[in-house]
Amino acid sequence: MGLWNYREYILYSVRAKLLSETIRNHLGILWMVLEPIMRMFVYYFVFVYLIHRRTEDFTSFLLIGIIAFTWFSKTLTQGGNSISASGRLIKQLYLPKIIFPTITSLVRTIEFLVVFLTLLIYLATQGYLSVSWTALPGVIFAQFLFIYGITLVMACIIPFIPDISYIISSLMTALFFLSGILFEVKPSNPKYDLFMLNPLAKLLEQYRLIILQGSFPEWLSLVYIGGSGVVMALVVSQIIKKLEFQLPRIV
Amino acid sequence: MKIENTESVCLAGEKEKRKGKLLISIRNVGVIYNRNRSIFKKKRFEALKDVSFDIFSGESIGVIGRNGAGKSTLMTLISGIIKPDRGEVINYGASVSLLALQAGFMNELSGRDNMVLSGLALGFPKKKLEEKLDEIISFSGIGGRIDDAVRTYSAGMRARLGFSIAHILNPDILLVDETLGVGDRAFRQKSANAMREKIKSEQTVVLVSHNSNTIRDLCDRAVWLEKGIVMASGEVDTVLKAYEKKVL
Repeated sequence: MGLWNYREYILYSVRAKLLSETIRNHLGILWMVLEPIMRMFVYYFVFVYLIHRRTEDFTSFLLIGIIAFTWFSKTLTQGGNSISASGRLIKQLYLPKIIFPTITSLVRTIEFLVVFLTLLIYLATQGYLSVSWTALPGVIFAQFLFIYGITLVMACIIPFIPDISYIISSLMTALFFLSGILFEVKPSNPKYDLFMLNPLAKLLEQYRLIILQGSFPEWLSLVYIGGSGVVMALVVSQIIKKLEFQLPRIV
Repeated sequence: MKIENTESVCLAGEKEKRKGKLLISIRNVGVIYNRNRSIFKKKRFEALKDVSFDIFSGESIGVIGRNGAGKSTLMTLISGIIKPDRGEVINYGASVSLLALQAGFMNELSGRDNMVLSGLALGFPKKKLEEKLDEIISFSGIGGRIDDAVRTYSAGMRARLGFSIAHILNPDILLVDETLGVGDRAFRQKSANAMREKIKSEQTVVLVSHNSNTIRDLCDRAVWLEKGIVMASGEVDTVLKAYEKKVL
């Protein structure tokens, strides 16, 4: 596999990207954590003070949703454009194109892990810690596979149809509202089954089940979600390999 | 100037005896770009129509031609970045690198980090890179500022960094696009000298230029490209005379 031969380049790039994103600002790595907290306050303000709607544990509920969703949306938006954005580089030397969405996925995953771990430490001090937390790596892994698969799909399509990147940003807004970040859809809701067809909604539900309610996740759903990511990644990596020498001409 | 010319003549004679093994063979190559302006408009553009020549180890080939002649496309073909639509490019196992690499630079990072990154992208193992690091830094003349962010570098410094990486890492075939220009005058002098050194040694070079003096000065074989077709190839003076007659 092309990725393995370039592992040193990938790892160094991941490190370099993280570095260059953090040293640009005065607060550096702190922004990773501050950003979701600031967003949480905005939603909290709107929902609790303006329209007086709140679910139980609303701040924790919001933070889990925001953090897990941001991981998805940032990776997809940046990773989807990653091959196009590397146009100048891939016209100057040969690199397997799958490298670029892979680097973005890894960078955003590390960011997620830093932020998520911070959240977990905070929640542990709030008395949420339970044995069910041992299942968290499973949910995270399933979400990673799903994100990686769909990011590869987008990274492969966007060089050919750049217009898609506009659709993605609208789609992200739609998904933001349809994934249950701001509100909870309970199994008693008649639209529950339909709502949960959205893998992100399902994933967010699992995180909250584990963290806030101390129960174990629906493993089968996680296998489906992770498995769909693996299928997408396997198929698209073959397609990208076929397009290897076509892509430098069009980006 | 005169001295340089005699030198290159001597060089050419010397090289003739040494002409080594076949590295890359380009056979009847054609490259067609389909530019989709929108879903409805398609534009076909033949960058290369019929190009054939061989690259042997130790020689330096000058590719001359006007803007849009297909020189850059030829470079991407030789470096294995794209594949031709017609004909074939056969690489018999040579590593190829474009000189004056700058595209991969990350502005927020130090020159040192960017050096390692470019080297890894070129496929060199990290261990070898770390051994060569000091050599690259000293050749680039960037000195103590190597640990500053590339963002703070002048255009000349960036070019020097890019040049030095490819120069020290020594690929089997070095592709030089003179039209890209490398740094300020002093460094241009230095890089021209470095190039001359390389050409004297075993280094195989393909130099792209629209300046016949550069090619006369540095190369021992020339290829004249015009609208995607090889108009003439072979001995430098003959090819350049034909080119100058047509162009000037």
